Amino acid sequence: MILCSLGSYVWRGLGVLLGGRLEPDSDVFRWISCVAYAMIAGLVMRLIVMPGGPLAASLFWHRMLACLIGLAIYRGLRGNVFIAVGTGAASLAILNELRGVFG
Amino acid sequence: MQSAAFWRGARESMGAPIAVIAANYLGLGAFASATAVSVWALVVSTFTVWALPGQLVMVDMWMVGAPWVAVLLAVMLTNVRFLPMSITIMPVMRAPGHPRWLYYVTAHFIAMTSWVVCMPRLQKMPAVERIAYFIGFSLNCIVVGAIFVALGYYAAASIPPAVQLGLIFLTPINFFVLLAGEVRDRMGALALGCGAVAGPLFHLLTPEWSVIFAGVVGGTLAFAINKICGARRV
Repeated sequence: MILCSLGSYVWRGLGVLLGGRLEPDSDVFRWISCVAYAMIAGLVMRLIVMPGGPLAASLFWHRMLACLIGLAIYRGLRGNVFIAVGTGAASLAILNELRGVFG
Repeated sequence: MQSAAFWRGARESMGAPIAVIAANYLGLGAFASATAVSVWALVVSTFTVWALPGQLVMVDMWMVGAPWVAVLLAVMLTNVRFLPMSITIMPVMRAPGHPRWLYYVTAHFIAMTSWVVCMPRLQKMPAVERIAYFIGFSLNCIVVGAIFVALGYYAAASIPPAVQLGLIFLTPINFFVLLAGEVRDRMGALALGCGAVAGPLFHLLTPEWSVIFAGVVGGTLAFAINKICGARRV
């Protein structure tokens, strides 16, 4: 476990070292920031499109609809993440329950 | 001044970020309760590893008795994502007067939630206050994570399936809303779009490497498109 902790820290520490030498306005920096965002977007999209575990039992369009409901509320309420995410997640649970009721 | 920023960070982490972390760690605790991993290992690793996917991999491989080199390698691989996050958030936190070691301490607190939530917020406050805010924000997340991993460990059997589904979905929907809701410029939108397409595609090809490939390929593509469009406009 100690090794795993160190293994996780290596990247964070290395980032400080490298980050100190890069101009925030340079192309290299812009490219790395693109990579960081694309990586997270890729991971999140994969979790929504092809989830594992209990989520795999729900329908894809239910998950997508729940995400769009969350996003619409977030935009509508000018940034209230708590209500947006809570309503989105709850709507997936409800949609999935309804599917069980109506076959 | 800085302690005020620290507490403001801790206070402002209350809400969706904390709820998602609580739910995630509840899930990890519940998952681990079915294994031989002790609750203490979970709590301690929440403070020292502070990376949900890394901890999940650790518990999973520990359970099947994988050799420690394989566990270490897998944990390191899942956490490569901290490198670009750290490189991009550190210049934002730089301010005259901070000692160098402070940046290395701060680096330990970088995680997906704190990076996504704090990147836009930090840029709206004075540079000196950013580190204090970030540590306050992250430390509160870690403490709550540690509490909920223990709760999940002991409460695993009593969560109804519908609630469980909602809890598990909190992670993807939270990041979806935060990322899609906070896009400000063309480069950001391109990076998110390319990553979102590349992620599932690479997962079909190679599940273990999909996150890294999606980032590098999707990110490079977004960077190139942005560059070409930018050049044309000038």
